[in-house]
Amino acid sequence: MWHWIALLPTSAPDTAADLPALLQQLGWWSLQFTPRVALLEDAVVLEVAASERLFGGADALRGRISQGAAQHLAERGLVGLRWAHAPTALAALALARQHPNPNVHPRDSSDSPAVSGLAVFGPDAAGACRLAGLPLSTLSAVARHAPTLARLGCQTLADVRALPRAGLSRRFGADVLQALDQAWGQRAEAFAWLQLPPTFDACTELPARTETTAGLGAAFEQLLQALCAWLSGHQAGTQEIELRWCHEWARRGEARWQTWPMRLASPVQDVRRLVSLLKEHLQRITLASPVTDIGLRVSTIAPMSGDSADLFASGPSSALAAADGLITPAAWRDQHDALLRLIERLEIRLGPERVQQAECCADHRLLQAQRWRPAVQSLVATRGQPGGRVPAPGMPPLATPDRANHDAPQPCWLLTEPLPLAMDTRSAPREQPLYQGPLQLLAGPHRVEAGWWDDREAAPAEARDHYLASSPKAGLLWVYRTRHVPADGRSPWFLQGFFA
Amino acid sequence: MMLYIHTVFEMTSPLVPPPRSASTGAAAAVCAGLPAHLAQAVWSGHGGRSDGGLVLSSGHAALDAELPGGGWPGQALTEVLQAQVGMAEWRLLMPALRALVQRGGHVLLIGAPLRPQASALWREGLPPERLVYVEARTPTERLWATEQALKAGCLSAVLVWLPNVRPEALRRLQACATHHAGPVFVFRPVQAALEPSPAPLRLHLGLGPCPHPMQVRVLKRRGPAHAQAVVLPHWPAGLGALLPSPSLPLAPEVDRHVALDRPAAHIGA
Repeated sequence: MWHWIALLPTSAPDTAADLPALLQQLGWWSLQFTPRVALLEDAVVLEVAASERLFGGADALRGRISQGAAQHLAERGLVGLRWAHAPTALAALALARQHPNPNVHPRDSSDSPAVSGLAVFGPDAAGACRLAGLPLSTLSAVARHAPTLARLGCQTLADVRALPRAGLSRRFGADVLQALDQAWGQRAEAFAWLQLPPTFDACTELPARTETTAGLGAAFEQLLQALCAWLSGHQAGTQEIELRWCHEWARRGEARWQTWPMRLASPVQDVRRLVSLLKEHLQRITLASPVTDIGLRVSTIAPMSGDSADLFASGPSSALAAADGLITPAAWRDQHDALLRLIERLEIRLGPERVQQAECCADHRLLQAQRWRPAVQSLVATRGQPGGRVPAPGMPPLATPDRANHDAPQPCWLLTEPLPLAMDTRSAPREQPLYQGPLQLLAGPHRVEAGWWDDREAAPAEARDHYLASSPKAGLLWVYRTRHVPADGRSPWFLQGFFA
Repeated sequence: MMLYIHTVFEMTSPLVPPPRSASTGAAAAVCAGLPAHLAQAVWSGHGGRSDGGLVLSSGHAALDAELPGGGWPGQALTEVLQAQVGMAEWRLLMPALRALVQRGGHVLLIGAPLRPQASALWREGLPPERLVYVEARTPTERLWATEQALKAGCLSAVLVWLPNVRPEALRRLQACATHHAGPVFVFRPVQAALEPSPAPLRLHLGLGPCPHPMQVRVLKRRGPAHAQAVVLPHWPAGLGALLPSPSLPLAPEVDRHVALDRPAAHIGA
C-alpha cells in the first residue's frame, strides 16, 4: 500500500510569485520527510509510506507536513495550500485540485497560513467513489479534452472511465487512459525524483540597479529563503555562506563579481537568524558602483546537532534563581547558544579581533601568561560542557599553568604597556617611586627572570623585581624595578597592574 | 518614596497618624495591627524589593544589608561611580560573579579601560572561558554592544564602562535591562553623581587608607536614603598575608566630590 501526499500551493491572484521556483523550494523542503519527492504539474507530490512509522503514524506525519508546508509558503508570500492524501499521486493531485481554494485575504497569510486539505481515502469502495465523482478538470490529461467529453455526456471521471477503452484510446490518445489507470492505481506511475544539488549556487538579477547595500537586503533575503529550503532538505545547517554581487562596471583590473564571506559560529538553518546576520554584514559592505546581479553560494554543510529538549522550561531567570550546580544540560546549552549568537553579532560589527577570550599559558611573565583570541573559536569548542565543570575557587585545575607561580600575587588589571614611574629626587640616594603620591612598598621583591629563551619580538626577556605597593590614592599596585638600571638616567621603576 | 508610604498608611489604616519620619519600626507596628492580606500589601520602605525581582547576593554581608532585596538587582542597571579606574572593581563584584558563573553564566566586559589578567581572575573563581572581553572604543559602540548583550537572553553579568553617556542613552539601557536576567554594572566617574540617572541603584566606590579596604556609599536605592559608607575589608586571595594589619576601627574617608549634608536620594534621583 503506497501513500502519496500532494501539496498544491495557491498564490494570490494579484501577486506575481515565481511559482516554478517556489515549487522547487517546496520540493527541497519536503525532502526532509522522504527521499521520494517529485514535481507533478503545479504541485509537489511525496511518497511517504516508508516515513510514516518514523514520524509517529500517518496522521502525525500528515499534520506535520501540511502545517510545515503552509508555514513555509506563508514565509514566501503565498496565501494558501491545498493538500490531499491518497493511494496514488494523480489521485492525490486530483483530490487536492477539487478542494475549494482557501478563500483568505492575502494580508492575513503571514499570521495564519490557510490550509485546506482532505483526509486520506483508502482503496475501499467509498474512496473509489470519491475519486469517481471528481469533475473532468481535476486530471489534466482528461481536462484537455473536457469540451469534447462533456458533449459526449461525461461529467465525472467515472463517466470517462465507463467509455469503451479501445475507442477512448483511438479518439483521445493513449495518455487519457494512462492517466485514468494511474489515478486508480491500475498502472504504475513513474516519476523523476527530485534531487538535491550537492552545492547551493543561486543567482538572481535585480529588478533595478541598486547602489545601496540596504537595497540588496531584500533580494538576498529571497535567496536565503531558497538556501534554507535546500538546507532543510539536507537536514543540515551551514557555517559558511558566500555572498556575491555583480557590479555594472568595474575599474580596469578589477573583477565585476565581488564576494563577501559570511561565517557563522554554529550551523544555522533558521532563515530569521540568517537575515539578521545578513543585515549586519551588509552594513560593513561598501559598493563601488551600482549592482545588477546578486548570488549566494554554499559548498559545505554541517550536521545540525539533534539536541533533546529540557523537561522543564528553563530560561536565564530560572538559571539565576537555581541553586548551585542544579543547571540542566539543556539549559546550559540554551545559555551557550544564546551567548554564541550574541558574540556572533558583536563580532560582525566590531571585528573578530575585538571580541576576545583569554587563554592561560605557562609563563612567569605576566603579559605572556595569557593569550587573547577571538571568542567564537573558544566558545564553539566548549559547547555541550555542563556548567558544573567550574573549578573550585582558588584551585585552578591542571589547565592553569601557573601552579608554580601560585605564591606570587597577581594583579587583576594589567597594563599592556608598563607605565614608567617618576622618582622623588628629594629622597636620593634612596629610590622613591611616585604614582599619585609616594609609593609605599608593602611586599617584595618578587623576582622574575624569564624569557631569555624566547626569540619572539613581542615577548622580550624580563629580569625584574616585583613589589606590592600602596599608593595613597590609587590603592594597591603591582610595580617592578628592572634589574638593569638604564644607563641614560631613566627611572627603573614601572607600574604593571592594579589589584582591583 | 515618602509620599508613597504616606498614601499606603492613609489607605490602610486611617486611625494611625501619618508619621513625619517613616521608620521601619513604625511600619512593622502598622503591619502587625492589620489583617494578613492587607499587611502583605503594605510596602515597607526599608525591607526587600516587593516586586519579586531577581537578586544576586553581593557576597559581602555588610553591603547586602544595605542593598534593597539583599543583593545586586537583576533586570536593572547598577551604577558604580569611581574617582579613577582600576580601583577595587573586581574585589567588589567577584563574590557575585563567582556565584553567577557557577549557575552557568558568563561575564562580559564592554569597553574596559584596562586588560584583565585572566590567571588572577581564575584564581578568584572566574575561569577564562567564562569571561568575554569586548573592545568597544567609541561611546556609540559601547552602548550598542551593551544593548545587544542585554537583549541576547543569556545569563550574563554585563560590566560596561561609560565615561561619557547621555541620560537618554542610560534610560534606553535601563529599558533593555528589564529583559536581562543578570546584573548590569555601569562604571562611571564620580562627577556623574550630580547628574540624574535612571539606574535604581547607584553606589560610590572608594578606597580607604592603606591597606585600602573598600568604602561603598549607597547614593541611591529603592528605600530610605543612606549616607554612611560601608567599609568592606576584603582583598584578593593571596594578598592578605602581605598587607599590614588594618588599624581598626577604620574611619570612613570623607569624599570631597559628593556633598554628604544632603540626603543621597536627592543626589541620585
